[in-house]
Amino acid sequence: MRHRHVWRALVGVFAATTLVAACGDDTETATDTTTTTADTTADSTANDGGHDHGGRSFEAVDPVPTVEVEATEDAKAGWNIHVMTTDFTFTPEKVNDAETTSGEGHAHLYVDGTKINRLYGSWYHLGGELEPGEHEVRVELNANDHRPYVADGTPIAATTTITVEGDSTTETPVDEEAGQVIEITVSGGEVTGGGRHEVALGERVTLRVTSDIDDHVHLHGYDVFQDVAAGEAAELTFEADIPGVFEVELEDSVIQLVELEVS
Amino acid sequence: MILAHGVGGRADLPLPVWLFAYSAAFALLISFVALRILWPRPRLAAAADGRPAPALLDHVATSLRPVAQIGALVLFVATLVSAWFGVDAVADNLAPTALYVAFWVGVPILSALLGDFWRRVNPLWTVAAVLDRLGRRDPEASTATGIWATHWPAAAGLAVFLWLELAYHEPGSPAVVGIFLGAYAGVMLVGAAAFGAGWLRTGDGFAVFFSLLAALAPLHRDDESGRLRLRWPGVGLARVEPGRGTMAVVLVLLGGTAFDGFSRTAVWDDALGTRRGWDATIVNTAGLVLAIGVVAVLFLVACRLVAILANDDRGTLEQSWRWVPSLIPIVLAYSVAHYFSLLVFEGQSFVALLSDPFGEGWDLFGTAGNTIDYTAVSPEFIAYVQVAAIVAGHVGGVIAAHDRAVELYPPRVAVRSQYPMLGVMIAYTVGGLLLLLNA
Repeated sequence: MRHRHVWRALVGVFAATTLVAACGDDTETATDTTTTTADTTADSTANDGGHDHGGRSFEAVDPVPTVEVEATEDAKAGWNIHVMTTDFTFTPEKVNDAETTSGEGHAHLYVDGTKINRLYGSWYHLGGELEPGEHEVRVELNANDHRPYVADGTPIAATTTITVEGDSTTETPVDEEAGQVIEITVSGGEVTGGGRHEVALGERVTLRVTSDIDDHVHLHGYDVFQDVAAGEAAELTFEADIPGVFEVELEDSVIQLVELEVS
Repeated sequence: MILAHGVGGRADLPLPVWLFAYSAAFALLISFVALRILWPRPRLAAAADGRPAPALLDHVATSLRPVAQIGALVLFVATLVSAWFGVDAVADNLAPTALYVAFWVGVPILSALLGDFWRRVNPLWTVAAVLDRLGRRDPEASTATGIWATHWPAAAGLAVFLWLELAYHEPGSPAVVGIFLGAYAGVMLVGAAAFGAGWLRTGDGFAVFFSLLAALAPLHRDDESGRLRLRWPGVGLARVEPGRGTMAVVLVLLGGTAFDGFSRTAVWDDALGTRRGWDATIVNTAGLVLAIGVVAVLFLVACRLVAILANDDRGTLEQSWRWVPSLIPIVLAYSVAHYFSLLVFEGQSFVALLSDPFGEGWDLFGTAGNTIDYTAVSPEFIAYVQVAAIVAGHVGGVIAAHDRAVELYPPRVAVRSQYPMLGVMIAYTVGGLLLLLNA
C-alpha cells in the first residue's frame, strides 16, 4: 500500500514523471491487475501525450509483424504515405474489439508527434498545409483495441522524414529576411504608400500589398508577379539586383503602386 | 517611355547631381567661347561635300542595299502580320518592340551614323516604287503641289505617332500598333499613288526625320554621281534646305522627346494623379501639346530676336527656317539621351522576338530563348552616354547656328545676332539635363 501512495503522489504532482515511470516496466504492469489506480492515471497520460504506454501495449507473437513507411510528394498537393507491412493484416471490421489475434489490427499516423488519423490500409494521402521545413511522419501498428504493438518491449513502428519546400530559411524568420519592407495599400483606386522608393542595389526588398480588389502585382523589368486577393496582404520578396527605375503595377487595373529606384 | 506591360520595363536612374552640374556648366562655357573662337566665314558648306569614300566601302554599301531593302520589307510585313494576328501580349509580340525600339530608336541612330540609307530601304518607298515602275512612272518624281509638296504632312504623321507613343494610354497594345501601321502605310501609299513614290521623300514623316539626321552622318552619296563620300560628322547640316513645314517636323520631334522626359518626372506624376485610360490620354495629350508649344515658342522668340539684332526684315517664319538645321543635332541628342538604354536593353528582346515573330514557338535564328541582360551596360555608362549626347548636341547646334549666321550676316552682326540663339540652345540643353536629373 505504501508503494501505491507514493505512486499516486507522484502522479498528482508530476505527470511527466508518472509517464516515465509507467513506461519503465510495461510487461510487468500489463499483467498487474492490482495497480488499478496507477493504470487509469497512466492511461490518460498516454492519451494526452500520444505516447504508447507499456501497460496498454500488445505483445506480438511469432511471426512478428513489421512495418515500414515511405512518403512521396503528391504532384498536386500534399504527400502520399505508403505503409508497407509484413505478417500484418488490416482488420478495420474488428476495430474496437477487445480481442486481437497477433498479426491483425490497424495503424496510427503521427506527424511531428501529433496523431493525425487511423490507417485502415496501406496508403494514405496526407493533405493540408504543412509549414515549410522538415517533418517527422510516424506510423505505428495497433491492436483492434488500439493498444500499440510491441515486440520484445520495442514498439512496432516506422518513421520517415519529409521536407516541405518553401525554403524555411527564407520564410520563417520573416522580419530579418524580408529586408526593406514597402507597405502599399490600394483602396478605391487610391494608392497609399506609393511614389518613388529608393532601394540599394543588391538589397532584399519585400512589397507588402493590400488591395480591395483581386489583381496581380507586377514588378516590371524584373518581371515577377504576385497574386493579391481582395483584403489580404500579399508579399512579393525579391533581390534588387538590377539597377534602374522600375514600375510596380496592379496589372489588370493598370494602377501604378510604386516606382523603385534601385541604385 | 514606359510602355505598359512589357516594352521598356526599366527606366534610367536620375543623373547624378555632380554630373548634371559639370555638363550644364560646360555647355554654358562652350557657348560663349564659341562666339570668340569660331570662324568668321562659313566653313561647313565647303566641307559638306567631303572626299570620295574608299571604293571598297562604296561597293559594300551598294551591294548591301538590295539586301537591306528586302530585309526591311520582310520585317515590315512580319511586324504587320504579328500586330494583326499575333499574340495579344506586348512582351511576346514582335510589333511593339519592332516599332518603338528597332524602328523609332534604332533607325535614327543608324541614320546619323551611316547616312540616309532609309531613302532606299524604306519599305513604303520600295512598294510605291514598284507600283510606279509598273505604271511607267519615275519613282523619284513627285507631282504634289501646294501644302502636299511641303513637310507639313510629314509633321502631321509624326505628331500622330508621337501622340500614340506618348499620350495614348495603350501604346504597346499589338492591336493598336497594327492599326497605326496599317493606317499610316495606307495613307502614305495613297499619297504615293496620287503624286508618285517621290512624294514619300517629303510626305513620309519618318523618312523626313531620318534624312534630316543623315545630315550629321560622316557618309553621304553625291547627288549627281551617286558615289559614296566621306565627310566630317555634322558638316552636312550646311546642306539642309528647310522648306515649309520642316520647322514643324523638328519642333514636334524635339517637343515630343522633351515631353517623354517630362512625363517621367514626379511633377507629371502628380499632375496625372490617379487618372487612367482615356482620362490619362487627355491629360497626356495636353502635356504633349504644351511641351511642343514651349519648345516652339522659345525657338520662334529667339529667331525673332536674332532678326531684330541683325536688322533682318524678313518675316519671322521665313527667317526662322534658316535656323532649323541647328536644331537637328539637339533632336538626335534628345533621342539618344532618352532612348539609348531602351535600345540596349529592349533591343535584346527584339533579337529574341525576331526568332519567333508570330509567337508560334519558332526559333529561326536560335535567339528565341534570349532574355534581357540588364547588366550589359552599367548605369554609370548610360549616364555618361546621356550627358555626352546632350553636350555634343549642344555644341553641334551652336556651331551650325554660328556657321549659318556668318553666312547670312557680316561677322560683327553675326556674333551679336547669336545671343538669342545661344540662349535658346542653353535652355534646351539645361532643360534636357534637368529632365535627366529628375528622371
